[in-house]
Amino acid sequence: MKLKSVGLAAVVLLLFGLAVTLAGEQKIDAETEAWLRQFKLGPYQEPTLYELALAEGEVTIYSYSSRVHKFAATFEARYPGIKVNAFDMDSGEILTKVLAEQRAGRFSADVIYLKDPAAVVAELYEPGYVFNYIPPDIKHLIPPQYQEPLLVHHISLDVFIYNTEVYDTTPITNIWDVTRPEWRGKFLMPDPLVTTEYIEVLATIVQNADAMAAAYEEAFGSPLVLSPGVENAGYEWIKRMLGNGAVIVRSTDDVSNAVGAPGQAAPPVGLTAFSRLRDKEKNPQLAFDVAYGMGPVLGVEHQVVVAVVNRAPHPHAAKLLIQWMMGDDHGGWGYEPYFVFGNWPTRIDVSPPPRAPSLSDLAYWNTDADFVWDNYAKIVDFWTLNR
Amino acid sequence: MRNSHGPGRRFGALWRGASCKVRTPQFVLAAALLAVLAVFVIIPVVRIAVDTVVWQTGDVRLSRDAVPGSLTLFHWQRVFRSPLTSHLLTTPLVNSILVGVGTAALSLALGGLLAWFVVRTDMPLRRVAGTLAVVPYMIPSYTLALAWLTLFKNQRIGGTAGLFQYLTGVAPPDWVAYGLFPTVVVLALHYYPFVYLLISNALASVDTSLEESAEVLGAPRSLVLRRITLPVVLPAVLSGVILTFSRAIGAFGTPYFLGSPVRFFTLPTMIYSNIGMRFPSTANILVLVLIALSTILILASQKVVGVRRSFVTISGKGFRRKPIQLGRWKYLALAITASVVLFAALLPFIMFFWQSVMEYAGTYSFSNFTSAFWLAPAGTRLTEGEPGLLRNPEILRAAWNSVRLSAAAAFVAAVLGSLIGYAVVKGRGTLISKAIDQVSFLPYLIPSIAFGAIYLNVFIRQWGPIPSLYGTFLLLVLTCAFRNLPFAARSGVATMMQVSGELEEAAQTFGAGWFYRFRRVVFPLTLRGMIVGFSLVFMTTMRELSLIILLVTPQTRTLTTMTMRYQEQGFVQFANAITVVLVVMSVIGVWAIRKLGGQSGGY
Amino acid sequence: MKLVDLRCVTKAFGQVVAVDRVSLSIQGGEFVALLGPSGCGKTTTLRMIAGLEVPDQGEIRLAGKGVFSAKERVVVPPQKRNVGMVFQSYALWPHMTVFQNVAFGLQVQRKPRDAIRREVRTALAYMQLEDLERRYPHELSGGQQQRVALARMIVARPAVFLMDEPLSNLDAKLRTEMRAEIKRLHRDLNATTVYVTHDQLEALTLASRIVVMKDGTIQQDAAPSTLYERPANLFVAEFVGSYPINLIEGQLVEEGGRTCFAHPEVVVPTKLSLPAACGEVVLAIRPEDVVLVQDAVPPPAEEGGPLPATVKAVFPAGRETTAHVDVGGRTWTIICPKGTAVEVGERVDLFLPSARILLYRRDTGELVDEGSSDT
Repeated sequence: MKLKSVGLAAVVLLLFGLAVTLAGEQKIDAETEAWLRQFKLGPYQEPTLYELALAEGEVTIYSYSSRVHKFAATFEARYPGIKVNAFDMDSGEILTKVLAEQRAGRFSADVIYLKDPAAVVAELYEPGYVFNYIPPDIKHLIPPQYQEPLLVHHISLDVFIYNTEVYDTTPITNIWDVTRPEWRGKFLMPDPLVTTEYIEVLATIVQNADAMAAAYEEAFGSPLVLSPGVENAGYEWIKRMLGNGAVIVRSTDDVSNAVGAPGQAAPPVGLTAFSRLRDKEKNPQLAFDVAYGMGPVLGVEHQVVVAVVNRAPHPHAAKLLIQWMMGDDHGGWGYEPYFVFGNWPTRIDVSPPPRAPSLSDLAYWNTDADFVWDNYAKIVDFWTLNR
Repeated sequence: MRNSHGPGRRFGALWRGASCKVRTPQFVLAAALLAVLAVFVIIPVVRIAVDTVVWQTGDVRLSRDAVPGSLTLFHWQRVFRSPLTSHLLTTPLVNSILVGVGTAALSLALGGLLAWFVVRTDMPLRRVAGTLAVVPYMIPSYTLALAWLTLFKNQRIGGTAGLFQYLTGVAPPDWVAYGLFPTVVVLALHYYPFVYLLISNALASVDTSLEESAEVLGAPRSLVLRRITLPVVLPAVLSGVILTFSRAIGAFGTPYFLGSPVRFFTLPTMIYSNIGMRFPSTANILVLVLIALSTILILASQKVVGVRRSFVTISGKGFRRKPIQLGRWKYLALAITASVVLFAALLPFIMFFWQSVMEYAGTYSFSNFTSAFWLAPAGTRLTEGEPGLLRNPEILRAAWNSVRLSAAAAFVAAVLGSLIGYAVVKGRGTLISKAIDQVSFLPYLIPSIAFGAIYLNVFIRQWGPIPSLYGTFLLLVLTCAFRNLPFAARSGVATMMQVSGELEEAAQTFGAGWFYRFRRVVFPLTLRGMIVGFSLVFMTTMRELSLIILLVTPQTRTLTTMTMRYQEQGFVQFANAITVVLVVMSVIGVWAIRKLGGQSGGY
Repeated sequence: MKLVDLRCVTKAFGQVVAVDRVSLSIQGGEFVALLGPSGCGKTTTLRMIAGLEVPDQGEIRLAGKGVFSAKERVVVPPQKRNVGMVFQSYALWPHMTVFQNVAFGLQVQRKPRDAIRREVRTALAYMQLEDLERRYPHELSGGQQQRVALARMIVARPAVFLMDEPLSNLDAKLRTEMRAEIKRLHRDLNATTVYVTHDQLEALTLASRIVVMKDGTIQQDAAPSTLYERPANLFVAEFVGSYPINLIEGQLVEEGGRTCFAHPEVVVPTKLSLPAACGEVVLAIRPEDVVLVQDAVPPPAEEGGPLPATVKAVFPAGRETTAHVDVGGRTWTIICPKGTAVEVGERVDLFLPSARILLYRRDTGELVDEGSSDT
């Protein structure tokens, strides 16, 4: 690999040399020469990102999503000569691996692409283990809130779902409905202690305690009375939801398969990833939909961030890859694997995938990385105590 | 046996004749093994222990006082003396013990019975049954749990009801569908092959004349079994119990799938979620609790074996083996064996295969059949452009990696395990033997993901004479080998215990040096046990995932990582097809190992 | 030449001393049996000669070469001692054929292939195993396995043959047969042999010299006849002999200028010329030496007796008839002379010939003898 990089670098340098020689045929005086140099024109024109990346020859990305292999393939096709080393693993595993590498001074990853921005910011960004990179060509196309501290690649929603074979419209219209006796043992959600993005969901519900209290009053007609020792309406919801026999399953597809399975007399409702709706394409018998019209919100947002790793061995290729992942500036295929139902691009010039509702039409809560980080352990403990 | 040694063993000198023994090859070997174990086992465990009293970066979320890197007792207090204790420790601990005891007992019953049927009786189809009996272990245990759910689930967790309810109209009660009972049954169906392999191996070397002489004396068969056969296979039985108990208390997938719907949580559940949430200190304390639990069991079992001493069954005295005539009972024996194998191996396997040829997951009809997930060329719409499994070069490469890694790890583990067995048994009663025995078992008790994380942190940088192994295939091999070393070591010890010391001593009196007699005598005699160890490690590594996820490189991607990928993308069919491939490869692999081993070890 | 020489060898397992300051010299060509009950240290002694156990103290020399010395910290491992051993369990390697088993020792010596084949065939022929060379041990009978073990040992031509209870796994008939076989072996090869057994008959019939051990110490080291005729102490007296030796307690007194054994029922003159100070003793006499006298027969002239006894049981066995008789509360075994018929309950008189009696000190159990108390 090393040799190959050196070889490519030699080729690139040779090309520059050739350009300079050719330029030498022009009649240029010293002042022009200085001017050209200052403004990087003529023989002094800077190499493109691709040329620089080509010299590096490869790029290594740790991704939370297996779809990395798809955009890696299109990247390699678009930019021949640059090989993508794609690793897919859990967000938590990426954190562990990068922390270990950085502490040992073994710099091998170039790009990380993962969920759980709260932890990424606190554990990798703040100590200086990763850095933000926003492709300059598309900077203006990304809303500022998705640019700092790290670039948000796309957002997803975790939402309430119901069975469409039995119910024409959503049988739950208020987030508190799942604490009612008629839904006892009939609400499913992934275990937040295993699928940790649901800690973010719970934290966001806690953060919006006031709205939760208001929603309670709307649903039951009387103000919420907190249980002894419970801090606010958000925690109270977690407590009552668990107390109402909520079924804790392992993953998001367990929820969607249980809610959407055909032929059920009294199907349950659940909380799962919006993108599970895609499974209906692979298995048309699944009958479930998002509980649009839930109050106060139908779900909670979570973000997926991308960053360049400290002292990445292939920094230019890393930049080029991020540019490709973000869909570059002339409609590249890099974003395509995420242009699906349930993922929303952060770029304003890209509309959601076909049939997907626009984010602005949906009522959902944003996650606040700082709040999630600060309350993470508290929520985990509260969950553990009440489950 | 050498009767004049009895008293000496009982008083257990720590360093028998230390002044003169130091230079014996056995001692050198033991010391070398201990050194290897120190690097690859003790260091990781110490690392775990140290981590529990040090603030980790993620702990800032737990306490504002946390200063990453400095010492604290916070985590111990959190686990042992806080309102969370009963949820974090006590209840899961009790549940884990219940699962462990239940699984060990049921595995022993199933494995022991099958081993006896296959090795010692005239049951029909013994050879076939013997091969099929280990298949359940090759199928990932969580898939068996899923199969259980498919059969017995009721509507508690929504979705369609299970096959049982569909056929009988009766909804299985919660205790059948979820929680302790199904967890124990599924784990036992998965882990009984340990017991089966160990006991059948031991039974195969029991001198039947021992039993015959008892029968001649008029002892009923049950008494012979209890008083003669059982004591002889006791070391194997205990090894089996320890292995199944420890695996069961450390199992994550099955208890989680079957337990969480009724909120039945075990220690591994807590460990895995704490690792997932990156609270490694809490997880590590619970790991230490698991280690303590199994250590108690091992010490207790050593007491038993230690007191009853050895049951040397491969002595230099040849013996004949004669199958026990079961008469008409042999069909009952066959029925029991068949139903265990059917339920634990064939049924799940058929279900996976079926689910891999469905156009739409979950619809069991002929019109829904497709071979696309196996054979489709790239670009097929149904598979979103992915080529069928057998045409996918990435899958084939991953399969090759799986085989390569499993074989290499199994080889390292089997050789080490045999040497450990030799060192432990030869030096029985000495401190160093006990130390090796104990230490070699430790990795078994550390959850895979924690083990992987520790190896990542220890071997990422140069460490004394050991260069940084990060990113190398060797590190994967070492990780899998040492993580699974306990299989090989237990098997090695059990085998060595059955080989009479006189066989080696005889070679010694003929002037054979240590290497020569190890090669000509000890190695061939323990080959059978080595093969068992090799098979166990091979099968386990074939479906290892969380252990190596932190250490893999794209070039070393294995089949299991591919399964996860497809599961995540909702391609249930691909995931199931890979499981089928994994099982088939395991079966072929083990069969080949047996075949090769059988030729050289057939006496 | 001293082929095997043990000096003050001691071996303890934990707190149990298995072998206690044993000294033993064996000349070339001797057949020495180590005899004793289980746990007496005989196997440990043999294993220390072989090098399979390392002594704690003392010195061992084989063919003049020091193979162990606690003082000089010399330990020569078994493979460098040039000894051959037959184990109680035979220790045949189950994964090798008869041929391979026997060839092993020669292969270790790196002999050429055809030499090995020739020598193995010779050894197998000598042990009448020609047709079995391709068999595995488990395909052989016990006696055949024993022959293989012997063939395996002799083919390597060791300086010393060590045998650890080689016949204990065989039935009575085979045992007799193999005993003859071992005797033939020793005679033909004139090999120095150390033979461990707990069976005194085996020791008496095979060995040229017997070393009786108990609790890790040597009780007596003598030729078989001496051992039988003049056991050095009560333990040896009781341990050796097909029939238990007969004992009776009494005093040594002086009577009529002779030293006599005195018992309330009987006085036996002895050949000793010792002062009466010896006091409390035990008289021992082999069953075949006791003279039984029935009413009809007149008493012999000079023998000690008569000692009255009651017949308790009679065991006719063709060649001879033995009887258990009650002597003052002790059961004695006696051999009835040919042609005599005794009946249970019959009262008989016993005579104890002075030349045949053995006297042991009651406190130490040592033989009361003219010279030193050691044999």
